[in-house]
Amino acid sequence: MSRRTQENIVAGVFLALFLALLYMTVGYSSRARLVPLPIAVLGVCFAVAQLLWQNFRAANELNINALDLIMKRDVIEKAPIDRRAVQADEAEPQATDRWRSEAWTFGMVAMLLAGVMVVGPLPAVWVFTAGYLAITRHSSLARAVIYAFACVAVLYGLFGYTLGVQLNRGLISGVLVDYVDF
Amino acid sequence: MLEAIYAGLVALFTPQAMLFMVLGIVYGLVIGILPGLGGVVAMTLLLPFTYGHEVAATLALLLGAHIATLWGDSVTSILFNVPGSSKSLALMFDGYPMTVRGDGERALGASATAVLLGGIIGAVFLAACIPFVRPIILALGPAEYLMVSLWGMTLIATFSAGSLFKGMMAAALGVLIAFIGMDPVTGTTRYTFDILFLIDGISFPVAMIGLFAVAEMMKLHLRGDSIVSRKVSINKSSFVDGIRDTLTRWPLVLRSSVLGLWIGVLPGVGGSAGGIAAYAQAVQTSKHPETFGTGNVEGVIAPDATLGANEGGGLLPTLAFGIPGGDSMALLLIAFVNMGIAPGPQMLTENLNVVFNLVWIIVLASVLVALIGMAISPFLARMPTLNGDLMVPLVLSVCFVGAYATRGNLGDILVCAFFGGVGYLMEKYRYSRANLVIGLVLATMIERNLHVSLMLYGPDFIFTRPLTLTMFLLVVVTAAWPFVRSRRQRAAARAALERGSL
Repeated sequence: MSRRTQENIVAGVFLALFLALLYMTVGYSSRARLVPLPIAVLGVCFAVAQLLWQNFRAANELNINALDLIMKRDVIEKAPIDRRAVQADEAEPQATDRWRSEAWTFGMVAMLLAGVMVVGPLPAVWVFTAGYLAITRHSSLARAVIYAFACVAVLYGLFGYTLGVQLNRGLISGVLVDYVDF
Repeated sequence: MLEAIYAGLVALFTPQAMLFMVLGIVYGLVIGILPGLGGVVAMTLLLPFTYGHEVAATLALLLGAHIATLWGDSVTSILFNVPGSSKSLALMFDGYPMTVRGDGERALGASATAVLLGGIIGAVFLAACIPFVRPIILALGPAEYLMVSLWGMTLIATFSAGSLFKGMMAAALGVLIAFIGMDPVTGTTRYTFDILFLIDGISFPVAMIGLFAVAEMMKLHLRGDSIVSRKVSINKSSFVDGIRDTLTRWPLVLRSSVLGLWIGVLPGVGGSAGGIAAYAQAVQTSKHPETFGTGNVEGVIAPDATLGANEGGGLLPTLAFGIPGGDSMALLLIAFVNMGIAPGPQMLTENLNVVFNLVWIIVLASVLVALIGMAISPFLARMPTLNGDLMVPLVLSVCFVGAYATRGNLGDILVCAFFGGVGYLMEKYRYSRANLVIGLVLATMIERNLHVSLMLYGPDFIFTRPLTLTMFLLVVVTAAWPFVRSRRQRAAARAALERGSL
């Protein structure tokens, strides 16, 4: 997928979001929408302007500084090149690898999130830390388990013991704890 | 008065008071370094210990912990791009880039010195202004608070370098996200999609942890390096360089401290807006504004000096009228009540030694924090050089647990992860995360003060209140300044070109 397409998707998501918020804002009372309404309208305008802007320029000028434009600078000559955009287009063969890595990164966060939600923060942190250290081969499985245990102990000391935060309650473990009543 | 100044100092030299101050500072540093938790949490947890001890010792414990959190918050913002609390948001803009290029220790030195100098200036101001503070505070109202918030918004142009439209979109989104939940003015639930959890709104610290810290760990995981690249030397600058940076920029420290005092005096404005306003002021008065956001030490000094001075300013209305200058000052009021001291005008007559006690605590605690900072900074500054494979799971875990600890709600972890993804994509496609957070932090304050100003002073309030009009003009001038400066630079460049061709 080209950089321009990606930029269009992101700007499109912003536009859709602003339109949805604008639609919701209109339904509020005049006082409740006093500030949100103009902001939502401005958001739609900026998103449309960005979409138009990035589709009428070359790929290496996608992130031109609008301050230059307003100041009537010679934007074509002075447009700061988004090196990442150019690199992304040049490195098309590596794009699949990049997407895979990004998907794995998002998946990693999602896994930790799911773990925390289901079994609670501390058990999830223990499994995640040990798993991450072992999978990335930072340490052997035994060491990873020990590091994870140390991490959990520190977190419990700081948040659980000192601040009194309940760190073992997820959606499932919370129900179980309530059921067993301990 | 001299007697009260002396009595206030002597009261702190009892074993109990000294022990409590050191304990408070160490505890405050730990709480400050934990993401999402700031001075308010530190003081709340200490409130049960305010019974049955010496007044000076109790105040040293509470205020010492609170002052230590200021620098503790800055440490994680500078070293890991993880905001210790919403107050330390502005520290990430330049502090973290300094760490990435190997100047972490220098940034910590500048930060600690700025907090120290700001704290001393704030304390001196508090002591000096006690006799004639009443008319100043009474002259200020919601219209002036609104102008302070609007001033913070002028920063958006600074962080939109590269794409103004994208920067504005990010800021607009931040403002709208801030309105999620119950509108305090009309009682309307906005943008909640009938989800019960959203009625309380999005927690700012949680959103910031996600936007910056989680996103940063995602980037680190992809890069497979440490925060400070192994190719970068971390020994090229030291804590002392940071001290020197701050001392040689004393006009900036003074300006930022005065701003912090001003914001502290305004009840309800708070340090979050103060840090952003200080950063805006630093950008607008700097000779090299284009270097902000890339690791300019002035971007570290200004917010920290403001936050340091903010305490002295915040104490003024708290002591003089019993009106808390911020959330932490409200907790101090509770402590006063626990100790049988009634804040109000009589504080400045009957309990003047307690007032000066507080002044000395601010000074001594600020000095102690700077000394501890000097001792531990070399070790702290090495942490970002740890292997990324070790940092990612540890920091992600701390972020998620920290997000959960802010309100004890699992929904906050969901919000943290969501904003982590959003932050990563915004960084990738160059939508300013800083602008989103500025909008997020300032929006509710702007809306609330706008509503109150309209109700109290009518629709023409900007023009009917001279102070508001003056501040409004200042906002307009500072917002237009980047454009004017850009035009001037262009004219100068054109003139130089013409001279060269002749």
